[in-house]
Amino acid sequence: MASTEEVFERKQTNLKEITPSTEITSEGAFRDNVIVQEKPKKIIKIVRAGLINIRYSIETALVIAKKEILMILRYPWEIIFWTLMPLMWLVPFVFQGQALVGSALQSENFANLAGTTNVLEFIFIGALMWNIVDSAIWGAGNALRWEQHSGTLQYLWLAPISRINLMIGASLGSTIWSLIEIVGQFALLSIFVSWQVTFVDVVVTLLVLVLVIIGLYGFSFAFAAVILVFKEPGVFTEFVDSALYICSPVRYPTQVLPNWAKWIAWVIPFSWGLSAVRLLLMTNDSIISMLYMVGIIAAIDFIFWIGGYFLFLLAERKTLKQGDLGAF
Amino acid sequence: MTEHVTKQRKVKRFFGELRAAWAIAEKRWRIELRYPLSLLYFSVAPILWILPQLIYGSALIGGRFSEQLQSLTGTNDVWVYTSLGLVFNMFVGITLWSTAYGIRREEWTGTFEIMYITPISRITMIFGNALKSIMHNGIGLLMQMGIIIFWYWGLFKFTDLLIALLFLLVSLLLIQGLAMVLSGFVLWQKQGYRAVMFLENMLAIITPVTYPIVTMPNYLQYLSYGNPLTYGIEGFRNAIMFGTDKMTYIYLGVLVGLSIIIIIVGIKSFAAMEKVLRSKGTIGQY
Repeated sequence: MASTEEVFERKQTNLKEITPSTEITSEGAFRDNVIVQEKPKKIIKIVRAGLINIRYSIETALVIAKKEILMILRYPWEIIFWTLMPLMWLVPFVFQGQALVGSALQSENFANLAGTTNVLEFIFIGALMWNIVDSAIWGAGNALRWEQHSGTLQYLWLAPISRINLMIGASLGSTIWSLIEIVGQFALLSIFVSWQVTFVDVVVTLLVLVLVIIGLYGFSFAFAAVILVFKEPGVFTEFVDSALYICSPVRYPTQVLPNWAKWIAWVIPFSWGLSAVRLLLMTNDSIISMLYMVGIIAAIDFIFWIGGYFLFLLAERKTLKQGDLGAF
Repeated sequence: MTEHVTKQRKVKRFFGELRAAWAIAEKRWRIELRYPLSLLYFSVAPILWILPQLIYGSALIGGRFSEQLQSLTGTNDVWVYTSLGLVFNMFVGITLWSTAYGIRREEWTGTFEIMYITPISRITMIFGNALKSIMHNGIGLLMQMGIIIFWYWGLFKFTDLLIALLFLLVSLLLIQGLAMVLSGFVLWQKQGYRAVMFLENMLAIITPVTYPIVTMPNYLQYLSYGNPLTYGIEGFRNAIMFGTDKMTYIYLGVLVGLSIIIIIVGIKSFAAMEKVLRSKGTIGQY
């Protein structure tokens, strides 16, 4: 057991190392001094550590995203194929619409529900935006399963990085992939539709898109958590994809859905994002009139992130505890 | 005497091939039953898959009936018209997918080589896979048809329904031919899903699934008339919605004729592709 003098001497030495110029007269003064002298240093240290952490997190996410993009670029036909395919899926809807309401594809009933008579633009924007959800489900949500298929999951898991950063990186890669598709499809659809958009509309649309994407990241974490536990994602992915597609206003306004399905649509940030983008690109409404939508998206984003994050941590802990992370 | 023995052998061989096809279907069922959730989902999913186009139609016209459709097709019932088209298209589409990918699936599970050296016809291998798919997709078809019959109850004759199912049956033979062409392609390209998907979507556009042929632009209408599935889907839907007449049997005849041609093309192209790949030694390549 060290004596009081010894403790005092040790503390004094420590203090001298930190602040050699500080003069100490009594133990009480010493304690006060320590607080006064160490607090700013500690805060700086914490802030610095936090910044370094954020930097590493960004670096890790970017490395993972780069890996994903490099893999995509190895299959250039995939990009062309997946840019064209959603447009091919649109054709039957156009012909069906013409068979039901005439070749002009103008419907009064549709206008009452959607606020626009332009069915063609409505479904085109829906198709463009659906790419984001598709990539969140099939790309980011299934990212860990794809790693498992290619035999690299364990290596990534052993790397001294946060698993969430791993997911953010995968989501980032998927987002870039879907943005490439959207730009390509937008260019092709412009042949058939003359978009009446201003520069401000484009900027606000991009901001809304970013908000929607952030929310879907949270959704991807939750999705990845389920896959981490249940492994084979086929059925789950298919089900979520179909359910979201039916309940989202991709091809039709949500007003036409039964009440229970409307509730599902309301809790998906994508539905609000899509409505906001349509409002911007298809009507002359001011940005202020859609600010409440942006607020709702931000609130849902927050809930999705918190929920997704904790669900992912829970799933990770469960799989590690059970030792079936590597189980195929 | 020799002729009689040869005939007997042929009959024996035929039944042997049928038994082999059943064994392949049974094997795939055993695997499928190991994943009950998957089995359940893919049995119910066909109901989910027809919903978007039904809801879209309802959003456009504000209900179930459309005068525009009446003027083009003779019926104003959008739900039944659209659903019948989708049911037919999905059934043949899924069967095409799962049959064309039957061989690739064997490669994934590492049983392809073992299957390949078994003394059975390659057509039996493909047909065995198709048999299981037809049985599995039949569950979804039954549910879908149940809903449509409920909507259209009392407005069709039972005999017409049987004729409609005959159209579906002949179309499945047609799909076997197409699947053989695609199986050869998948055997060559391995990950040939892009080709299968592209072909399926092209067919979906030029087949009058949820719209009549007159809605398409002229150049697509020509392609549509050359598409055997057009006769399958029109015959199937018209038999239920409008009853059978002379035109129905003409459609059936055209469908049978085209199916025979496509099956022959399928068998020949698969055999040719197999020959090329065997000479290259790339059949077993992953």
